[in-house]
Amino acid sequence: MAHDAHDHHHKESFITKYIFSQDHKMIGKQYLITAMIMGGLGIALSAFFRLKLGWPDAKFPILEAVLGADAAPDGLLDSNWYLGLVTLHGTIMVFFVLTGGLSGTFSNLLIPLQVGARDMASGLLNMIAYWLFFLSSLLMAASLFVETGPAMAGWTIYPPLSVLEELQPGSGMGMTLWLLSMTVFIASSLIGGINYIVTIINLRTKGMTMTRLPLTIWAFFVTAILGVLSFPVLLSCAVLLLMDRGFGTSFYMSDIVTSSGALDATGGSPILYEHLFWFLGHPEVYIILLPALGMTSEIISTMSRKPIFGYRAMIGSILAIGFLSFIVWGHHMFMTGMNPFLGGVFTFTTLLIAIPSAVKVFNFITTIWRGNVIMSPAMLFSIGAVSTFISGGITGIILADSALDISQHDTYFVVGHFHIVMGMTAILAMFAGVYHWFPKLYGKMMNKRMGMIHFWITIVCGYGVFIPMHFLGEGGMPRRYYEYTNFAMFDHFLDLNVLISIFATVGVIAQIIFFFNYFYSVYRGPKASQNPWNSNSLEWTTPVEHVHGNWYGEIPTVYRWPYDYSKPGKDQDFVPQNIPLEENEEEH
Amino acid sequence: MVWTIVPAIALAAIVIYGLKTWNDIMFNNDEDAKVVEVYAFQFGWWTRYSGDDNTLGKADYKLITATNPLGVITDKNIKDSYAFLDGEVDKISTILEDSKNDNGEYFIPSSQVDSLVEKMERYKRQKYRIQSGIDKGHLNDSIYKAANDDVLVQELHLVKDQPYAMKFRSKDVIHCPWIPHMRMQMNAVPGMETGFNFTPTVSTVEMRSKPEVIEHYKNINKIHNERLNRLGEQEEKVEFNYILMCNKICGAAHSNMKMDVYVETAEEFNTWISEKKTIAQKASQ
Ligand code: HEM
Ligand SMILES: [Cu+2]
Ligand SMILES: [Cu+2]
Repeated sequence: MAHDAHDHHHKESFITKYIFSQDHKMIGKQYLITAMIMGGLGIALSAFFRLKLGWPDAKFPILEAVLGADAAPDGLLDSNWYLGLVTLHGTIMVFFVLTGGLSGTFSNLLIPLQVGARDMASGLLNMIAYWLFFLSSLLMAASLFVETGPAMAGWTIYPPLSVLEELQPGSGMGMTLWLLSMTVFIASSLIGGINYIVTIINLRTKGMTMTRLPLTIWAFFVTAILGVLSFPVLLSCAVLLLMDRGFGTSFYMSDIVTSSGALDATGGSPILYEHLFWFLGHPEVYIILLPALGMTSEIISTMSRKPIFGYRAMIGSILAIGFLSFIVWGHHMFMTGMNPFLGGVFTFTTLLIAIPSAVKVFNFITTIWRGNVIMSPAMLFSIGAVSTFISGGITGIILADSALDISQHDTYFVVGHFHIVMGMTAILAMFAGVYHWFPKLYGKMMNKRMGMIHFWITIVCGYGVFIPMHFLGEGGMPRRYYEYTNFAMFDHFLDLNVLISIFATVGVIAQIIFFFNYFYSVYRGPKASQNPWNSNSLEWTTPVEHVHGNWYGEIPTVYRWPYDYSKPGKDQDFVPQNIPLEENEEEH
Repeated sequence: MVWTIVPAIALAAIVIYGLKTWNDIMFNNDEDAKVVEVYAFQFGWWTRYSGDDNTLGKADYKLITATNPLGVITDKNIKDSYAFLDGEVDKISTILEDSKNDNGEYFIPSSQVDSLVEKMERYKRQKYRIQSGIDKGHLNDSIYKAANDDVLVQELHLVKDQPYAMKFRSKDVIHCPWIPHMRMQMNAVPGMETGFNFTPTVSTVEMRSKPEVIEHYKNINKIHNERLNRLGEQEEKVEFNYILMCNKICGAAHSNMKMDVYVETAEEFNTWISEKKTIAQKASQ
C-alpha cells in the first residue's frame, strides 16, 4: 500500500520547502524558473548577434555596455565574440531551455500527477538532478565572463577547432567551462531520466495500464529512454575531447600544422567526433520534440473537447520515432567526407521518420477537425506548434536527401529549417504547457488577453525571422558568418537581413509580456478552480494548493483512458479517469 | 488513399533520383576527369593543378614550411625542411645557452625553459619522423616525381565542359570549400583527403552576358556603392564572378576566406597556366 505521506505533517523550513525541496512540484517550478532565466539569456544573445548581421557597419554602444570592451570595442562586436555568442545561444537554447527546462519542468510536474503517484520514485535523486542542472547552468553562464571569451566553435564544437587555443581564443578557458558544464548537465539528465522511467514503470496507480496513460506520459517516457541511451555517448565524446585537449591524446586529431609548427598528433579523425556527437545530436532533437508534441496532444484533445484521434497510432509513432531517431544521425554528416556510401543509407532512414511524424500531424489535425474548439492561449500555442512542425518538416525532407543537401548544408536554409521545426515547435509547446498547467503550478490563472497578444507577436515574429532565412540559404549564404559584406554577391540581401533583425528584436522584447504575465499572475492572478479546463487526467483531481503526497487520502483508482471527451450518452462533455465505467459502457 | 499514394510516389522519386545524382557526384571514376586539389588553411586557400600526368604529387604535413605551404614531397622540399628544422633547433639551443648564468643555471623562469625544450624536442622528433618515413634517400625524385609538374596558385581556373575530380585537404581545422553559384561543397578535413566530381558548364563570360545576370548586377552595384558611399569609401564596380568561400566554422576570419573562380575556354586556361611555374621549375631556380 502506498503510505500516506500527508499524514505525518512535518514542519518544513524555508530551505527544505523552497530550495532543497524533494517535492516534484516544487522541483518542476525550480526547473521552469531556471529555464526562463537561461532562455532570457539565450534569446538576448541572439538579438545581440542579429544586430551585427542586420546593421553590419553600425556601432551599438549597448553591446559594449553589456558585453564589455573586449567583446564589443566601440560598440562593434568582435568576430571571435560573435561566434562565441552564436555558440552559447545554440547551446543554451538546445540543452538548457528545451532539454533541461522543458523535460525537467513538465516531466517533474506531470509524471507523478498523471500516473497517480505520491512523488517521484526517488525524491532525493530528483533534487540532486535539479541542483546539477542548476550548477551546469551557472558554469555555462560563467563562461561569458572569461577574458578570452566563451566557447566559440559552434554548439557542435567540432575538433580540431575546439581543441587548441591558438586556433581560436574561445577554445581555452571558455571551452573548458563549456565541457565541464555539459558534463554536469549530462549527469543531471541521466539521473533525472532514470527517475522518470522508474516512476512511470513502477508507480502507476491502480487501473492505470500503459494504454490508459495520457500521451504526455508516453512522450516523457520515450524521451527519458532516448536520453538515457544517448547522453552517455555524448559524455564519452566529451571525455575524449578533454583528453585531446589536456593529455596529449589524438583521438580526433591528425596531421595538423598550427602557427607553432606541426603537431605530433596522428591517426585520429574529426569524423569520429562527428559520429559520436551526432549519435546524441539527432536523438537530442526528439528529446526536445517528443515532450513538446506530447503536451500538444493533451492540450489539443482537451481544448477540442474530442478524444485524441488514433491514440494507439500516436503511441506507435512515438515509439517508432524513438527507435528511428537512433539510426539517422548521418544526415548531419553528408558533407563531412564520411564514406559517401552511407549517404544513401542515411537518406533512406531519415525519410522513414517522415512517416510516423506525418501520422502525428494527421492525428492532431483530425482531432481538431469539427471539435468544439476553445481558443485558450494554450490551445493557440499548441496549434502554432503543429503549424511550425508541419512547415519545418517539409523543408526537412529536402535536407534529408543527400544529393539535395549538397546545396543547402550549413547555409541559412538549415538555420531556418531547424529553428522552425525544432526551435519554434518546442518553444511554442513549452509556452502552451505553461499556460495550460499554470493553475496546477501556482493555483492561479494566467491572464488570457496577455497570453493571446503574446502568442500572436511570437508566431508572427518567429515566422518573420525564420522564413526569410530560407531565401538567404537558397542565395548561398553560409551560416556562422560574422559578416556578409566581404562578398558583393550577398549585397542584395542587406535589406532582408535588416527585416529579419527587426522581427528578431521585436520578438525578443515581446517575451517581456510573458514574463510579466507569469510573475503578475503568481501574485495577483485570480484563484484557479480545481479543474479549470474540464480535463480528464488525474492531475486535476488533486487539491488546488500543493500538498505533499499530492492527494488527501487514497490515490484515485483509474477506470478509463484520459480522452473521454464528448462521449455519447454522458451529460457532461468530459469523464475524468477516476470515474468508474457504467454498466454496459464500452471503454473506448 | 490518394493522400498516401501521391506522397509515397513523390518520396520514392526523390530518393531514387537523389541517389543517382549523389552517386554521380561522389563515385564517378571518369578517366578524363582532371585532378585538381583545393587546400584550406586559416584563413585562405591554395589550388594545386596536377599537371600533364594528371596525378597530384604526394604530400605530408610534416614538410610544411613557408616555401612549401602544402607539404608536397620532393627531394628539395625534404632537404629544405631538414634545414628549417635544424635551424629552429639551433636557434632554441642558442637561446637556452644564453639563458644560463656562470654556474650553468637558468635565469629565466623554468616554465619558459620547459616550453622551449619541449618545442625543440618536437622539432627533433619531426625530423626523425621525416627521416624514418617519407625520406627514401636518393629515390625521392623518382618515387615522388608526380609532384614535379604540379602547379600551385591561389585562384581556381576551370575549363568549361571539362570534367573535374576535385580533392580537398586542410592544414589546421575543418573548412569547407563552397561555390554557391555551382551549389558545390565538401568539407576539407585535416588528416584525410575528401573530394567530389563535377563539370562546369557555363563560363564566367557567358554568365556575365546573361540578361538576368546583368540586371541583377546592376542592382548589386547600386546597393554596393550606396553602402560604400555611406562609409565614405571609394565607389567600385562589381562584376559577376564565381567565388569559392568557406562553409564550415573555422575561426575568426571564417567569413573572409575567398578565392576567385574562373570558368573559361581551354585556350584561355592554357595561356594562363603556361605562365605559372611548376614545382620542379621553381626548385631549379
Ligand atoms: C526556440 C528558440 C531557439 C532555439 C532552440 C535556437 C537554436 C539555435 C541553434 C541550435 C543555433 C545554432 C548555433 C550554432 O550554429 O552553433 C542557433 C543559431 C542562431 N539562432 Fe537561434 N534559436 C532560437 C531562437 C532564436 C531566435 C529568437 C533568434 C532570433 C533572434 C535566433 C537566431 C539565430 C541565428 C541568427 C543563429 C545563427 C546561425 C548561424 O550563424 O549559424 N534564434 N539557434
Ligand atoms: Cu538529425
Ligand atoms: Cu574556413
